[in-house]
Amino acid sequence: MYGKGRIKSWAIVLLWGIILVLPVWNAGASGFGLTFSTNTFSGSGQSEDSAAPPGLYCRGGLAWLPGKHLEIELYHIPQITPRLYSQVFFGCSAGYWILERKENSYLNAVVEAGFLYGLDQTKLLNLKITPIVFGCPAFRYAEKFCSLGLLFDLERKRLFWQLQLLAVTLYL
Amino acid sequence: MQRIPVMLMLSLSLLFSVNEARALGAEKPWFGGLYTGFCGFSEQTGLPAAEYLAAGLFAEPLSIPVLNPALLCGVLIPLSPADIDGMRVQVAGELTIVDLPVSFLKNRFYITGCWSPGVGAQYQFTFDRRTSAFSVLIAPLRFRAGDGIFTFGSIELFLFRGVELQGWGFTLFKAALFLF
Repeated sequence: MYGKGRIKSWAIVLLWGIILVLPVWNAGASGFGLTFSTNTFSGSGQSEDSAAPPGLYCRGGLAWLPGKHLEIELYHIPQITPRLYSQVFFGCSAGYWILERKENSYLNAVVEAGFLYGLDQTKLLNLKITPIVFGCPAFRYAEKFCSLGLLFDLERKRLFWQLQLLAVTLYL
Repeated sequence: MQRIPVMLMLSLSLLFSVNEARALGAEKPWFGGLYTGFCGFSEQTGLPAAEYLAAGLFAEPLSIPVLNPALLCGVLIPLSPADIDGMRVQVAGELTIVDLPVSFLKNRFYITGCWSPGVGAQYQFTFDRRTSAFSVLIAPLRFRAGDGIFTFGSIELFLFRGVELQGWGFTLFKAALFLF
């Protein structure tokens, strides 16, 4: 009855619906959060046939912070321009908050390792460092600044950069 | 030793001679500041595919609750891939339709914010004036909090000859911080 494209469109609409509506949910502080961030891919030879064609991307997903140091994230990075959703990456990452998360700790830094899968079957490995993190689940809010990542394209055997200037996480 | 009472008197006289600090109320004490943001454009606009950094100065001289005008002037820089030749000048006028306090965000953010949707118009051109474009701005997710205005996901509609839709642009995030 519905084509694959239509199901994909509804799945994307549903995903963004959840991401945009859940931040106003005021349950007690938990280790779950919704993340939104800017996302810049950069590297020599960035072209239409590269893993991440030039354009504007954003990043949205779900974060889970078990224990005092760990962070698990599921996210997707859609291309917005020049053609909406012409490339989409789905990713997961495991991060380690350098300083122990306490009730009153406000400043931190994070190192992460992850894997991204593009809808064109691109597979990327990701290593990322975030030098500045303000906030934590106790504040129900965290801001990550100047995250710098290194991506390795397993198909094309190429390295390129990822910069997330600002990432905001709203904890549920 | 004689200097100490003199210094003390001088310090006290300076302390009591300053004007009383003005409490921040509905009337904001700022005139303008700096803005920066990330945006991109659809292929129909003819602009090179890239992530663009927008940066410049803005002025919001009035402090009226409805249809508050602002003027922006800055540059658009293709950031990724970087292309200095693709730089453009942007001049825009914005209207804050209304400032409505958002109570549901009170328990999440430490400062009270206002939902401040905006509309506007923008003219952008290359330095050699060979290409130019006119667009209409629609910013439904715009918030005023503390000393800044934060815009998420605003849309630009590029118009050809002022009427025909030529393409669109999208601003992922823009922060305008009052500085002066």
